[in-house]
Amino acid sequence: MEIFGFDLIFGRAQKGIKPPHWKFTKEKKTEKLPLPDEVIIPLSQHIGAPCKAVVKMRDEVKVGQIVGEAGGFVSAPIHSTVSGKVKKMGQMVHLITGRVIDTVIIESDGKDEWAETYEPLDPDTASIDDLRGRINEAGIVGLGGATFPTRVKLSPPPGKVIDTIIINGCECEPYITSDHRLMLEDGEKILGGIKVLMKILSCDNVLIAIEDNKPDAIAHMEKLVSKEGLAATVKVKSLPSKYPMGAEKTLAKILLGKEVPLGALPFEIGALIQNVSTMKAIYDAVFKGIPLVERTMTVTGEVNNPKNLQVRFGTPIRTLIEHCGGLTKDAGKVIFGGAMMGLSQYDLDAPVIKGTNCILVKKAEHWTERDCIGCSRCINACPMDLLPTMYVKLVKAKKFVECGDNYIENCVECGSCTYSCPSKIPLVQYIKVGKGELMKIKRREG
Amino acid sequence: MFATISILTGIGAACGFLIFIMSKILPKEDETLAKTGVLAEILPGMNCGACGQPGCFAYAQQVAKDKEFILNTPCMTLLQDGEALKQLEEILDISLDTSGMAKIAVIHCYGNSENIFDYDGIRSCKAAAQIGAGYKKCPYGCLGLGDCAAVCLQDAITVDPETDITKVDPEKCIGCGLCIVECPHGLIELIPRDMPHYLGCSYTYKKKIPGREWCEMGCIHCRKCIKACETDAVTWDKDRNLPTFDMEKCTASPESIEACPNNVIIPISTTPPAVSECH
Repeated sequence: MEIFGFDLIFGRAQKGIKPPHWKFTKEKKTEKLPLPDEVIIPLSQHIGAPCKAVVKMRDEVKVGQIVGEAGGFVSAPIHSTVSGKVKKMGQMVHLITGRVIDTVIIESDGKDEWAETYEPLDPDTASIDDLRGRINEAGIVGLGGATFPTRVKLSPPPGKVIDTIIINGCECEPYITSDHRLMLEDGEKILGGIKVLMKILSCDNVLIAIEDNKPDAIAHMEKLVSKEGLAATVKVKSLPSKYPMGAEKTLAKILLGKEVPLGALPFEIGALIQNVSTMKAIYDAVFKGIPLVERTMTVTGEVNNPKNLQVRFGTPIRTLIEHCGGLTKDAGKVIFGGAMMGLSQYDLDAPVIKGTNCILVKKAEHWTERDCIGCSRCINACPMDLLPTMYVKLVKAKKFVECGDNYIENCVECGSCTYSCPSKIPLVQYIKVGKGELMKIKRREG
Repeated sequence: MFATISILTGIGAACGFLIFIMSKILPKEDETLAKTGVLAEILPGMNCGACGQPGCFAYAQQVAKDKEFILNTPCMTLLQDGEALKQLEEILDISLDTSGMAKIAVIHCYGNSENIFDYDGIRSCKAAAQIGAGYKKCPYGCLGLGDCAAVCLQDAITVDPETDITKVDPEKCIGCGLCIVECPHGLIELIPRDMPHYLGCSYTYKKKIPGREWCEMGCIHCRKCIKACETDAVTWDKDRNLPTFDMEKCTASPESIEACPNNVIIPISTTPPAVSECH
């Protein structure tokens, strides 16, 4: 790591925190979860326009059949994940945005019949438009957690050339091991996905970024790369274990030495960053013609038997937890996503969606917020070089425009500041309020 | 000695002459400035900012410059005070038609939907509403953490700590509208003070949401109020799936209030408030 060593000596190393790893499930092989009795499919599982339902009550559906059509350019279709009958067309409150959205509830017939899937494509002979269209048809979104439609990422604005593809296998959050297991078990598929990306973007410089707390994954990926004869173009990079190493902007900064400009996407510095799970989904869609209906996720924390599971979307959390031996006595909180950025859920019947990479059960803990003592630990921890404590003061005083003047929108909500705060101030929540109110003000004033 | 006195006298005379000349050349003191001072005396001086100006003095400046300004953006606090309005009319030499201009804030929710989970974050509605539409069963309802009460200069909004029910005191509310932007669910609306009642529910979705059905006190969409109203003042808003009241046709007769099986239509007392002194 030539860049990193240099930076360490001169004190320009990436800021962040070092939480304990707690990767309890890293030795456990991924299991396939038995098919659930019914799946709840919310018609908005990505950032962007919600989907429109194309099925009706009591329709027979098969696995891979489209139930929700993409509602715009920044959108992705949603497929049925079981075969059976549409039991109900209901509504639910979205797990993350809180908006009321349409939902399709499908009762499984247990046969797991597949709809006519797409023709497998060969990336060497297929045209770029076909490949891009297939990625869109298969409903692929960024599976790292942000769920940004991949098609949009693969269509850079004219004039922008992408010269580096970064494949993100960092998995810097504590507890989560789903990407780790995926690299060990399905490394070939990840490389297949990389080949498709290289063809679409005509780019021959790929970096696979993996944190050094996964030495087996690094060794395995290096072996596979040399076996596939890609050693000239694909390089595996070992990064120090520091949270949030896997954040898009942090990765670009540390691997390329360039900062993504304020409010811009990594297009601007000629980089494309994709998660390893997304690569596997692209492989399935292109080489096998299978749409995105399942993913690997980790169920860990206060469950009796933590596991890595391959789960169909729409499965209620209850089914997953029961498969992992049920909750322990101390369980008090169920979190979607990791310990740092996850969002807790109130209902065990809530379905898993495309962005769910982990279900973490934690003890119920209560922190009392105390006054800021001005220690500046949050400022030292912030990977984006922002001033979290200042935002808290500004949000409390309702000075949201001033928050914008101090670049609050650049916050990636990684939670490093809250983790390092000795006064237990929920800094990220204050920043989220500030961002939300600033958005409203901007919308009001046009 | 003589030189000193003569020099100083000379300077004094020269300065006096200069002042005399300048007073002849320069225009007289701006009329609007004097007017602003008088107007600022009449204005409430709360600096609430509801008119869009930085404060009451800035509002007085705008009005002194342009009489029409007060018609386009009336000072809500002033509208409640008859005497002050008369004084203003004398100074500005205009007659204001204030009927229907006085407003009052109402919260379109009773706020007693059940809690579905324990919320353990910042005690602010804006923060709570970002987590799955809030911790109440109804995703449209009042969260009762009192963001609106915190900004009210008249202490007109109170939150009952036990039941989380937020209420506007019509005796105290002056209709400044500062609370409107504070509500993350957009429940607060300014309605004409003459309105006899308002709707205490905002459940706008047409179908039931699994696990999140409307509360016991919510609108059950029975449309009895429309049938009961003799003056056709109540109409059904198809987009919001709720009844709306037409201000012009509405009389103070209580048919629709009585017709509501769930007591969602809430009467407002019409006595105007006494404006409190400067804060």
